[in-house]
Amino acid sequence: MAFGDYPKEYNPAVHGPYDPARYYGKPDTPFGQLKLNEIGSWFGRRSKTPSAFMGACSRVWWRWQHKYVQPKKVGIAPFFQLLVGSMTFFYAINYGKMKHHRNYKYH
Amino acid sequence: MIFSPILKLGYLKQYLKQPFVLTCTKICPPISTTKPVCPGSSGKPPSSTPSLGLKRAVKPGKVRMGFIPDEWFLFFYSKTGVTGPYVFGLVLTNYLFSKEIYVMEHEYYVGLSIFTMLYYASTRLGPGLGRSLDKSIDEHVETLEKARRDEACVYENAIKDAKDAQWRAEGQKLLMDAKKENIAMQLEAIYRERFMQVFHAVKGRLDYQVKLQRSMNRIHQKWMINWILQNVKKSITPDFEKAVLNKAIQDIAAISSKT
Repeated sequence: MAFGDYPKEYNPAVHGPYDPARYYGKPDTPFGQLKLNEIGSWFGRRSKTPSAFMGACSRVWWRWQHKYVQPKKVGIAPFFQLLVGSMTFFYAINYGKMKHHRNYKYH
Repeated sequence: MIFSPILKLGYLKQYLKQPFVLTCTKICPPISTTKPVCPGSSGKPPSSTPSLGLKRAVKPGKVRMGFIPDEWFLFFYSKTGVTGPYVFGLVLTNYLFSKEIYVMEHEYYVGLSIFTMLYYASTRLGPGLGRSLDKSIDEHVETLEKARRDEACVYENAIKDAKDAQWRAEGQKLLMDAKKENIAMQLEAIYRERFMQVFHAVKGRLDYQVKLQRSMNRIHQKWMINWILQNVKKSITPDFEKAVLNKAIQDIAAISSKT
């Protein structure tokens, strides 16, 4: 186990060039097509090792990259997405402080 | 960790200048496997890539209002129609402001001014800047592609010239054959000429022998005749001559008495 290795299930003869946004494990129903009562079992089937979690984070990053940053003619959308994302994140972690700057006592 | 992608995005287009092969998502056009054409004059290049299996998308995912992905709006569409997500956004922001979960402190007003400036910058200057950057990227890609295509063209021309040289070498073979035929013809002509010389020489000698024989015969005949005549003239005595003359007179008399 080393950082930066290909996933175990990747086979260049079968899959072709490596695609960092693609999940190479056993095929499962996509998350958007699950029924509500299947969520628990679906989550149970996923591997929850740290390297699997890092793999998932990497795939999320690469999917966002492929869709919004790497195409030839991108616009300003990824910049604004990162802007808004970081704004919400930092507002959330500073919320404790922000509570004291409220203008009204009763809402 | 958050700032590095933002800084990278600041140099977005230079970052994109690095060749990058990417996944085939729904956005990608199908892979074309046309061979590169060798342009005599520069024409529109066909989109040619080696069959790597991955191709870079040309257009990014659609977004509304600058940054919200289109899929979030379409997710609402089946249940609430077109205005659903906007109403949802309004209600959410109303909730956040009224319950003061989003506090309107002085940072908020700073953010409002910055948002206004960003909005006007991106709507007024954005498209123009985008077009000029796209153009520079296209020129860069075109120079690279042109270099590759010209090199391929050079090699194609080298192949063509090599084939041409092979064809010419075969022509040399034909030339050699023609020269051999020419020499053979010359030899034949000289042979015939000499043959005729031999013929004439032999014929001349034979003609000489014929003439020689004929003249010898003539001379022999002449001398023989002369000798015979001399002998005959010698053998004619005067008595014989008188007897013959008398006979002749009697014969003439006999013939003249008959008629």
